[in-house]
Amino acid sequence: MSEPFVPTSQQVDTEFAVEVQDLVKTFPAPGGGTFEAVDGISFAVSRGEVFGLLGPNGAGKTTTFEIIEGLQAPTSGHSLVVGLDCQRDQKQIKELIGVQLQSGTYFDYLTLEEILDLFGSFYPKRLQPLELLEKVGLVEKRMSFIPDLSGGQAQRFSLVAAMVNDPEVLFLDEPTTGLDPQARRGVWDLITQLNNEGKTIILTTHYMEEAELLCDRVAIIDRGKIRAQDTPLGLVRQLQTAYRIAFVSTTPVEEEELKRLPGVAEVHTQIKTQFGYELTVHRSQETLPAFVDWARSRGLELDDVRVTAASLEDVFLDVTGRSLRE
Amino acid sequence: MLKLFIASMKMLYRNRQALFWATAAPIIIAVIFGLYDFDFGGSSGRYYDFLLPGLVAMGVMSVSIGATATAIAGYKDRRIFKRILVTPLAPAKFIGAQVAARLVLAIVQVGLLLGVGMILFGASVSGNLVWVFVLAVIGNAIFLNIGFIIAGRSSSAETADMAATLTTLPMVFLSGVFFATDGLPRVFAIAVDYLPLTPLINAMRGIMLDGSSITELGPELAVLGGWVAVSFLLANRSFRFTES
Repeated sequence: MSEPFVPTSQQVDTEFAVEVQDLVKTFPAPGGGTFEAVDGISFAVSRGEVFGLLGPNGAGKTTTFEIIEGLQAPTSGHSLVVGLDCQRDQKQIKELIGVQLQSGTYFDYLTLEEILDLFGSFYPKRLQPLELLEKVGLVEKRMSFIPDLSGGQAQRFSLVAAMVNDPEVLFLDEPTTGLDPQARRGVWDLITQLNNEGKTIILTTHYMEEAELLCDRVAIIDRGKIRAQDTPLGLVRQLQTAYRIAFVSTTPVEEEELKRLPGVAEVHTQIKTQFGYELTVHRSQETLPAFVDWARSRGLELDDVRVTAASLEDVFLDVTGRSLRE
Repeated sequence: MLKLFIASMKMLYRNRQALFWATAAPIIIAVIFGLYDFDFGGSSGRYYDFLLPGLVAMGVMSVSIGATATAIAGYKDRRIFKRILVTPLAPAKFIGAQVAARLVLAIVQVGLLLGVGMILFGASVSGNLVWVFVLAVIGNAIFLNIGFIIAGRSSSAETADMAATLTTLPMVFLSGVFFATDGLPRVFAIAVDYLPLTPLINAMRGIMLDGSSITELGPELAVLGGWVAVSFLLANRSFRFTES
């Protein structure tokens, strides 16, 4: 550390943890030509935010991550982490970030404590292994080896192993893929807790509920491009039909009458329920009072009335024209 | 750095099965042949004295390739290199620690074989043992490189394991661990002379059996030196730390 560190690209005390601008990454395509894995992606993540890249497999999420982490060079465009250039200032950036790889594991023949101790020794600033294991409730497993852990424990460990250097920005690549629902919830709690401690977190996922629950903002990415970017609620609100009203009646109802209610876009019958209906509406506050008045005037007895917001799943379908799991 | 070296040693000796298979064969053979003390009515001297240098060379080879190819291919499989690359650690340091740990293992292996052969079964060794260890280090360099080549070319740890066996086993029989290579057909014998294990065995025998100094082993050292260079270049080409 003989030379003082001089920030070159921008001010290091930028408000942004990560900035990505016009990122392009092309690979030679099989059979000639090129394939744009990342095709002009731009986004910025503020400090303390949880930001999600949401998209199906092969959308370009992992490639984007690897460019920011310095593992790959972009074909064009640039990316910054806390104002440092991901290509030029790789060494400083590596000291400031924590990375959890998609389905990555660690050495089989080192104990959890030894792995954390070893990885900590790579950094000038490090946290104590026991302090880290405490965070994820694995202190009593400190002498265990990775193959002895359950899927959820292994995933929690790999998350905390990305934190040995007390990073400013944490990159999580599909942190809950392959976990059972209970283990997934455990990882969600952990991510929330880390964010509450002030960590900026950028994650990729193809689980909509995960993005809705964890992320302050979400970018929907498909075929190398960002198709929409906002808060989860903001994205849902952009939809023409953002809400659903579902109910069950004791007697059949004329669908035409329902369609005449204000703000109703579509009427569906619920397949599994007799006399069950579902309305997709623009704004629930517009439709709901009229709907209640209508039911009263008809003397209908309604059962199980539910108002639900559309989900990111619907947003994905809307912006890409296909379902996420295709 | 010390921490990384110690961790690399732990990864090596805690993998008991791999360790056993990489180290056990030459030691078991040294014990069996020591107990029975076969006499094949060969040229001069005791057969066991002739066999021991061959086993030492074989030990260096099996430890170096066996403990490297499978383990390193396994790291590649599990994206451990990628995980290292996102830390500030220089990849060369990680590889260096892995190599150093295997060098220690190879030296221990040579020590064990010499101990079993000389102390338990009274093999007579005429030359300076220091040269035996020097040769072990040279052999270790070649066979580690071959281990890295196999790891780099293999798609999984299982493939690497099979490739390692297929590389080492023929050499054990062709390069003259058990019998002098004189009996082989001429063309074949020339080819065998250029396998890396052959000059290593011949040099070991030159020192242990004939009491030569390492300076008298020019031809063997030349072939070994060539192998060090070629295997290093190939390892560099085949094995990429950056690919996952």
